[in-house]
Amino acid sequence: MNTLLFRYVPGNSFLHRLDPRVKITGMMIVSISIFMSSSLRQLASVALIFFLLLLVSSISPKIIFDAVRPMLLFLAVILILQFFLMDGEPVFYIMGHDATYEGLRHGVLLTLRFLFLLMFASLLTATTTPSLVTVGMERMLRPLPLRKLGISSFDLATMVFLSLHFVPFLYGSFSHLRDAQISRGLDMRRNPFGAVYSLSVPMVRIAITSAEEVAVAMESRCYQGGHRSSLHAPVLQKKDLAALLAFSILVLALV
Amino acid sequence: MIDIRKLRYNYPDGTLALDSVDLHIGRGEFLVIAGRNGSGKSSLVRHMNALLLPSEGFVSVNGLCTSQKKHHPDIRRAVGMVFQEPDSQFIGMTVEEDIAFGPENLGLPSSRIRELVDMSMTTLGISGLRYLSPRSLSGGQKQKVATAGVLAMEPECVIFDEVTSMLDPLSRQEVLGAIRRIHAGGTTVIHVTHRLEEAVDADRLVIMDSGRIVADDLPRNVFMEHDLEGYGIEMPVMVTLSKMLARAGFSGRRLALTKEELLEDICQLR
Ligand SMILES: Nc1ncnc2c1ncn2[C@@H]1O[C@H](COP(=O)(O)OP(=O)(O)OP(=O)(O)O)[C@@H](O)[C@H]1O
Ligand SMILES: [Mg+2]
Repeated sequence: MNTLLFRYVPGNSFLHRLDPRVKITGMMIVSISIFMSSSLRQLASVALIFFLLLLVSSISPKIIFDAVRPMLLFLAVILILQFFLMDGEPVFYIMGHDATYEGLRHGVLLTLRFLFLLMFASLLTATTTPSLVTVGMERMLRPLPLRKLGISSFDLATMVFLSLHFVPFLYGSFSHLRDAQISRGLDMRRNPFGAVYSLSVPMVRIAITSAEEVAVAMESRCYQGGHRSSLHAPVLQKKDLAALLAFSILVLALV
Repeated sequence: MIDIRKLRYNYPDGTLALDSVDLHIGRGEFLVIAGRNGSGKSSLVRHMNALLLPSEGFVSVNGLCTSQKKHHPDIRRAVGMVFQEPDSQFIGMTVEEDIAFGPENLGLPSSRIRELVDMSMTTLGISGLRYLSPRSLSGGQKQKVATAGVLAMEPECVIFDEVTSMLDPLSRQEVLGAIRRIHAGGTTVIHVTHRLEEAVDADRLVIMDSGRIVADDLPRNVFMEHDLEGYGIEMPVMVTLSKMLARAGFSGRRLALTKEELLEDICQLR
């Protein structure tokens, strides 16, 4: 598989076996605390929590690194922009712009927040298969009065699942298409507008056709919307709740 | 178990894909459908699990008429379909989850789903692929996963729509072996293919041309009585050889379908 982002890594660790609902709730708690943390000390605690989780997950740090690597350039750009664009006490001066101490601090905080969010999210998906994430979400959504809006928690969960499913698929089709058009003489540099046109029109067609094909395949295997069961039947156990409680206390105490 | 009468089908754009098709398929049969590209094979088999509905005529499965929507779940549970293009039929992220998709839709309890998934992975010999992504597999493995996904619903009939056409010889033999095992287990099998070698041990061979059934008989009789080249399909090499030998004056007792039969016939000439 070419996408390394949000990849599932089979395993049997404590984190793998934890109920998906606990993991999703834990992810929400940690995301909120990451967004509320405003000092390096707090982010250092977040890092500590992350490494503790990584230890119990038996996921190799390389997996996490592979997942965040495509984003590093983007994060670097944010950092540099912040460094130069914030007002404050100048550190040095290049091409009419002050690089400020406040900018550096803000930039570092911002990029670290992004980085940690990504790292926690990839830890979640590395230890939980998409279908378990879906089941977890479905169970959490079930008590909500979605029926009044005319959708069931099953439909919503299937929608989320199909989007997770389609992103790598469409990305694969896009690279095939680009290769095909380039080999037929498409020049992206000389004629960027033509390139956008000759890539986007067939891409829309591919998206529609493959959506139709998947729909036929789903129908042929008895998908009817509404109630369905799951291979996974997570049961909330004492240890799941205890883990959630311990984790929340840890986050509250440290961050 | 499948009954098709006076079936006619037009695609929404007006293309006439099937015209006055009559076909009755009995329980436990191994039926091969062959015909050139665009002759209507896929259109025909898609009527058998209600993915397409007749423009005229009728199709029934186990006595349930496909034009009634309320029968579709039962019909699709009884008749499973494996498609030619494996990538667009995968729904799960791991092999295990993909195979579970069908039983999940039937609302079975998860312990039962797990049993069915394990059972069909063992039948296809793919238990080692459990946690891999279906898209990362080879062509032959993909078709086996897709087949397992259908088997897990315990269908009475499985349709294979040109599942071997994109495979190399070795994978093709493996998938064909799996198809024979499934038939030997009592399941009705409908196998759509371009290669008539795959039809020699079938119970019945149906040839299609321009949306019509032009031959429907024991494979041996079809080979003997019809000019298949005229329908754009190639005879199995052994049959051609056997016919050439007969024309050259070495009249065997019968038309040889396999290497072994041809060898036997030649030996008797001495
Ligand atoms: N979605 C569609 N819309 C319109 N016409 C179609 C559609 N699908 C197939 N056809 C037409 O219907 C006829 C029968 O096609 P069908 O796919 O059933 O043939 P086939 O025997 O399965 O061919 P192949 O060996 O290429 O799979 C062809 O003329 C084809 O062009
Ligand atoms: Mg076809």
